[in-house]
Amino acid sequence: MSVVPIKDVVYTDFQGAGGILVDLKTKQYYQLNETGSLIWRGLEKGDTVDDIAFEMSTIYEVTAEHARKSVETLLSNLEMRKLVSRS
Amino acid sequence: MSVHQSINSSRSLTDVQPDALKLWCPVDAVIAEDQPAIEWMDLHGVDFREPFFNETLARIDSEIRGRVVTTFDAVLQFEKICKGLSPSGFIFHSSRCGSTMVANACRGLKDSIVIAEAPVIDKLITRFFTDAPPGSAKELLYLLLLRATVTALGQRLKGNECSYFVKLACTSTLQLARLRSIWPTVPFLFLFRNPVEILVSNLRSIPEWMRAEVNPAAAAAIVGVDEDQVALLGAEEYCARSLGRFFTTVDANVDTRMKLLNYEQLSFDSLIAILNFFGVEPTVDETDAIRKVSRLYSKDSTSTQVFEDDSLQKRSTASREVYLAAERWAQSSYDHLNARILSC
Repeated sequence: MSVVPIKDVVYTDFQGAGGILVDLKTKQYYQLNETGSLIWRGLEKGDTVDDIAFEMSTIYEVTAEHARKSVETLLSNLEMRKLVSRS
Repeated sequence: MSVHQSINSSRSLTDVQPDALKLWCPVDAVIAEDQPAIEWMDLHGVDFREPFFNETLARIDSEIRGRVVTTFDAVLQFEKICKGLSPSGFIFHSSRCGSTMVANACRGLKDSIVIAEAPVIDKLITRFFTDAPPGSAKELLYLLLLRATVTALGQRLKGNECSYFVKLACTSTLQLARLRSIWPTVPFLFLFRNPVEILVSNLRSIPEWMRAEVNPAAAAAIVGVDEDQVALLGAEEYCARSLGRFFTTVDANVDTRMKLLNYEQLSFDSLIAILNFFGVEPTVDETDAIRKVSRLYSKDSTSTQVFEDDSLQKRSTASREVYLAAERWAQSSYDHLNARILSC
């Protein structure tokens, strides 16, 4: 199963340290922190959840389990707000 | 609706695809349909040759050009497809200190873009004073909007531009750290002048940033007092406090990509040195144009009035209140900045 950003959502990154998601349909703005930004950029590249969790565990020196849990938590949140979809 | 239609000036929002905004520029930050928005204008082929951005808009006012108002996200989307120039340098200043002459020297370069005190930039920066607490989502949003707006203004509207300079309003100096976070490697120039001379000049013709009633919250933040106190300040104190804060802010944020220049140092040679600092080597023809700029009064768009250094005249006509305000609020931080120049 893969997770993909919804077409009408635009992400703007600020120096890799966070960014803003805009849902063009609702005109709602969402702030992503540094790790959220890393996850979103991974989704845009077409990375799997495992790929993103691996990158996160490498960069932030956390366990794979911890990283995967963080990724899943954010993805659930994004899915609830209809910013990503699972296929 | 096609974006190429001429839109009347009523502030209603339009949905526009980013592609349709090519060669259009953000020209103002406005309120439309009760929400913050950006006004765009079709500026294809336009040369920003006047000393100030709004003077260029006034020159082309009679031309039939499209205008459209969009929500903020249009600017963020446009940034992704915009192939404009990155800024070559930013010009900060303490007001009435020669920054317009520097901007005109940048205009002396063939194929340069010089955006001077564009309201859309200044208004977005003003949001940092009133509406964007440090670390907030709004702060991040305004940082991104500002970056996207500057990117959009760096479009090659004539097709062959190769350098791009942005001159900011003097009050933007107080947001130096935030602006540096957006452009960590771009050269920043800060021009300043003896505070008594600046006070005399500003008191003769009060600029909008000194009129607290225009935006009391921003004025209070600029001067560094509570909002209920700012209206009580005399013009001398208001200006002197602001200058002191400009100088102190610069002093605290000087880095290796920042150049300081006192008005007293302004000359043809220093203009060339500034352009070199911005990474530009003027050609022979450009050098001649810059030499001419250095001899003219910078705010005269007819380029006929000769520049005269009026420092002594300003100091000799300054009132006691001006001297007292300058001494109390700005002199020591001015001396400190000057000492930095001398120690280099």
